[in-house]
Amino acid sequence: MIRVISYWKAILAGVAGAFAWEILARLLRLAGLPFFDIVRMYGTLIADGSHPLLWWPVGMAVHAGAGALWAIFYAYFFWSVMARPPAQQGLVFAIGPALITVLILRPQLELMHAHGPAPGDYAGLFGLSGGWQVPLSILVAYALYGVVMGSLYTRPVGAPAGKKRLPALRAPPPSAGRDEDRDRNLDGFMFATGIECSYPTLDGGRWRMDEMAMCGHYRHWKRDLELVRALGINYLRYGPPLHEIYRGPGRYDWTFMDAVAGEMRRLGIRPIIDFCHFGVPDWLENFQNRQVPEMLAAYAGAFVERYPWITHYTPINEMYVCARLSALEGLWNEQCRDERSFVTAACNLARAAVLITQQIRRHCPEAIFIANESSEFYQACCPDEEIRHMAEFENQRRFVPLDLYFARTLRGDIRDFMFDNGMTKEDYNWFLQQPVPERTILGVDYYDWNEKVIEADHRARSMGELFGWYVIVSQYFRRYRRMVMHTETNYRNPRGSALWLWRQWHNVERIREAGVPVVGFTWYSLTDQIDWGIAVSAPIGNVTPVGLFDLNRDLRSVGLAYKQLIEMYRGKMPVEPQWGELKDLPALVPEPGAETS
Amino acid sequence: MSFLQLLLGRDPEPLQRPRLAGALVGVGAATVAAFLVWATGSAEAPARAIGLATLWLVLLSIVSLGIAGAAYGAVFLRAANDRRGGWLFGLGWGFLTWALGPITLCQWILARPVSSGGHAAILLAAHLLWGLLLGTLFPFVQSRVERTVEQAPSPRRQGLDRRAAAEQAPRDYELKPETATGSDGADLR
Repeated sequence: MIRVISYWKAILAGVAGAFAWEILARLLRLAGLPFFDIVRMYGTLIADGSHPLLWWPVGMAVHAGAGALWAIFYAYFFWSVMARPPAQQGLVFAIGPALITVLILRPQLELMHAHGPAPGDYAGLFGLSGGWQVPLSILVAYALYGVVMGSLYTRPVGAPAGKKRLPALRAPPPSAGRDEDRDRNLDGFMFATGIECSYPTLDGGRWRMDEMAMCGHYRHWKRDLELVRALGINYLRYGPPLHEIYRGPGRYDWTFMDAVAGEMRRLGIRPIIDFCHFGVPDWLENFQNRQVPEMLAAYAGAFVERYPWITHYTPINEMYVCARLSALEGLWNEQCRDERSFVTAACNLARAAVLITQQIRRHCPEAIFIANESSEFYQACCPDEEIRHMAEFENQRRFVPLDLYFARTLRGDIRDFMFDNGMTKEDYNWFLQQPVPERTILGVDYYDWNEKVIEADHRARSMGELFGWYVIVSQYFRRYRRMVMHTETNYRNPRGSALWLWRQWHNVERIREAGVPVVGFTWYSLTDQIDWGIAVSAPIGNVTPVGLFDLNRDLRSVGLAYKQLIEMYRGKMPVEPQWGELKDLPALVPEPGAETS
Repeated sequence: MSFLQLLLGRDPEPLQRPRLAGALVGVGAATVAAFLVWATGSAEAPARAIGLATLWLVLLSIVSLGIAGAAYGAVFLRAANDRRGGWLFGLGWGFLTWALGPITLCQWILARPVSSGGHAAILLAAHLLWGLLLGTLFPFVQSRVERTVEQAPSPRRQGLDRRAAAEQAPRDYELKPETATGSDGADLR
């Protein structure tokens, strides 16, 4: 798939452009100007040319159809290629069809009329021998078409917040499940993938980017689950669409999830459920809302009660990334850009994770928690004290939500920063007093953009793989002392992704040999994703080709490579669960930077 | 790596054979389109203009459109399997072959139009029909001709080969079992 487009928007925009053209043409012809009459040209090709009531509707239908086709072409091949306003994009695109019409279509249409009521003379092979007026009028008409069509074709993906996107399914209510169905312990290495399920809002909460909808999961969910099994994968990171299920306090629509959970169970897929993936339902607004933690905990409780056979949970996905992109970078949800909002979001997310954990344990004491975070590392570009200090600060900030979740004391300067920006001492003490479940695994995600250099202009830029997962995960492992899972990785160049997979895998192998108990590995995600090349910051519809399968559900090289890897290593990666905080740490490579506390 | 393969992840590996699929569908669709042109008598004027028998022109068109179908697969690669957009890509390709073939190329060489009136319209309609069929049927044929997982080359090996070629890495070397044995015969593994 080249791009996800909105067919109905493109058709509407193209038809509107064609009508705008026709109105202009009629007005100018009424004024006596020799404007090219394309509707008459089309109409008289098919219908009787003796009366406008006969040829105009036919001609206009063909003209509108051609306008719609050009607009769909625009949507697939041109939209968003230029970083210009939509009207300008449409205008530039229109140059192509205009030239085709001048050079090819018009003279050929005239030839097709040769034995009928041709409205004009044949203008030669490339339509330029009949004077400049008609070619000029075609260019003017297409300019208007392009501006109108371009202005109307915007936001091809996503939907207004509040619009229901889930398919209407008739699923039987889930069977409660027997206790022995539960995977009470880790019985082997977890080979996993995930369904990309981010659902942040943009535009002040008015526009929802639902990756499950954009990637076609709501349509192809059954096939997606079958593909998971076809590759031999046994664990699936899955974030049920919170904004669709959680309709209000105490109100849930489980229809879709019932069907999916039933199919997962039938296929023997063990889901790792995450309760919040970069967004909240519209009625909860955003992560600045102090009600978010309690409300999410209530949702988690209802979920666990309904699906008691599920035992693996990620309370909140990538809390640091969520807080940063929502409240500091201004991309998602509240779209704030200040430290106070970041601290509020980070505290709310961490509090939600703690409460969700506690709620799950009430219903399912043997639950296994995989607390994942995107691994980050900041490197100063140069021996500049200010930049070194910035890198040092960011290398601490990345730990804040996980530190709160794991009830760790914050380093003095970071604690002061949190207090200065709105965290109360009561909040802080509350976090420190919460028990951390023994059965918790540290999930560490890693992509090739996670390691960043802070440049002289104070901007953090991705610098590719500097130290790699081995070194970065060592920092997280030393800090939290839990069993580890590689919970996300992918690579945006499909031709390099098989090698990236193996590089990540060898990292896992080596660090296990060094003594770090790594219990799982995840290629994220099952299919390609939409607009992750721009961090889902705008509704463009571009495909990010990172999946084991593309959006047509055709296998990619990395999908085959993962299948071969799993076949090679299944049963050869023994796991001996070591729950709780590990006392003895293996000797690992020295840490880069100054991330120790 | 070709630009087209890199662009938006259209790399057809590891299973797909887009050129073969395109050629097969191209020939099949061309047979339908050629029948339309032949049955309506629209092939006669172009055949006269070129100086060929109508039957030969029809056969030549089928072969040419088969090649154009293979080119379609080579350009669109993995994206040609898009069941939602394939019809449109094919329709566009059909228009392009009409514009470049019977119109631009033939008229340029002959210095006059190859067809006019209703026959000229049918010529365009036949190309659009060919393109529509090509784009619509391509994904279904692709799924019939693709390699099985067992036949597919190892993506890991391919990746290493590509990397070595792109970065001009020193030659790979093969480790021999005796490498792991010291001069005194001690096992070093």
